[in-house]
Amino acid sequence: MSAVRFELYRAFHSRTFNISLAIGTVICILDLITFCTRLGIKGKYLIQAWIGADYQFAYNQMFYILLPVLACLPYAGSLYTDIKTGYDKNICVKTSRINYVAAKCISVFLSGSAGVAIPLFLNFFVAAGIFSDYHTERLKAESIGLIDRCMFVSVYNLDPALYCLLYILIDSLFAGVIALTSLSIARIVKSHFTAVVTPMIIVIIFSTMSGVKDFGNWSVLDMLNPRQYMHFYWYQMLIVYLVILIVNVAVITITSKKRDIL
Amino acid sequence: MSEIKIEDLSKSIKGALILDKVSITLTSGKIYGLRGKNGSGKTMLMRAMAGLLIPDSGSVIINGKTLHKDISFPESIGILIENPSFLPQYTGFKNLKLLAGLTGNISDDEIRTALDRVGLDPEDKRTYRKYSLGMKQKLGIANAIMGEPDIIILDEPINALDEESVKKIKKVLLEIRDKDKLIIIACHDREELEYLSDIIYEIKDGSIVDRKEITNDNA
Repeated sequence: MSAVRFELYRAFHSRTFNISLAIGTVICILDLITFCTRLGIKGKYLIQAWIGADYQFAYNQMFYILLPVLACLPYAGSLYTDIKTGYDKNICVKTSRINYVAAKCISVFLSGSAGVAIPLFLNFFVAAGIFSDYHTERLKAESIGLIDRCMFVSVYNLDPALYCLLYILIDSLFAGVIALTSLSIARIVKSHFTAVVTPMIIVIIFSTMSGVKDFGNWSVLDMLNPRQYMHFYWYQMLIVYLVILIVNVAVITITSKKRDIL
Repeated sequence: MSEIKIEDLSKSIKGALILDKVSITLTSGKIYGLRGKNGSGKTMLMRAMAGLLIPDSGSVIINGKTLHKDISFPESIGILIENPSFLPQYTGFKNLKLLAGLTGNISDDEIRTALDRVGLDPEDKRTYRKYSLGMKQKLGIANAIMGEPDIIILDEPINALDEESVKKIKKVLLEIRDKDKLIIIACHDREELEYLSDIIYEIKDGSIVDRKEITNDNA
């Protein structure tokens, strides 16, 4: 437990966590400002203005493409840095390797999740103070156009704000899971930058390939986007999350358990 | 009373044999010196004793418990192996406090005492990144001795230290030894090593080639 506390403190007090938050927040606030200045406030609703569902401007795409970086930047490169600087020696004589790695995984997951959830929630919170939470007419311009076959449409019908919150949770969970990819490749890659950027490249390549090869809609980038212009099933999302999680945890465990600390 | 028993310890890294059937027993209340040329295996032997190296064969037994079988790291140990490494954005005190939190049995007062003993000001507001080389080394030693663990391993502890600081560190180490602690030091300075050590092991090509008991007046 003390190792978890130690790693969480490092994660949430790191400069990179603040940088990630700043980038995400700037994108989210710019989106809201652009929405208000270009489209106005009157007659517009929360679900239209929230960055996750706003398709009027490039900020939505920008945020979701950068999501893996926002997730990995806070703390995912720290294992690489610990190994490179020899700081891991200080830790591994005070706690077991497995505790250290487990604590690292937990803190990377949570800081990655927070790095994505906080800007999305901030945008939602500010938008909720400006726009009313009202059901827009479906498929109308400026609405997110959810139709009955879309995922979580019942939540949207119940309350669009709840739908926003649900997607903040979904996106932040993915952020946590993809941040672990950075940990699992930390010993292979030779730079902090590569460790942080590689997950984004993997997500983009995988998402592009899934469109070209036509083996069903498995584009992670589209899956995460609350606008849902591609049709997915909830279990596809679950499979993607679990596969990434299991592969990462397996790689991290195998490479860390019997590692010499040099 | 602590004891480190190393039995037939061998280790290869990338095909190169770095420790070759090393067998020694170290007991508390003594300072053990390790001497040898660069690349002779001193640091690797220290890493193995600290549980940082996983042996290919043989074992490291600490107080009757085998490393990587019964325990994954020594229960009470402080180390400074190669260059000290700390978080650059925090002060010396904050760095030690964070690390002390991992074991949970070292108080703030003990951290302050450790810093003071090596000649660092516990109230210094400068962050680690602004420390000089000597200050970094002192912080590394303070990290190793804070809470006075049963086993202390120091690799080249007097590197980058001025004469006065070296005297101070030597005094501290002898004081700690006299509290029935086990200290292992590797040092290139023959004179200093002989002054501090009770027993010196000579290492060559990963093997212990000589054992020398030192009689001096430091007791």
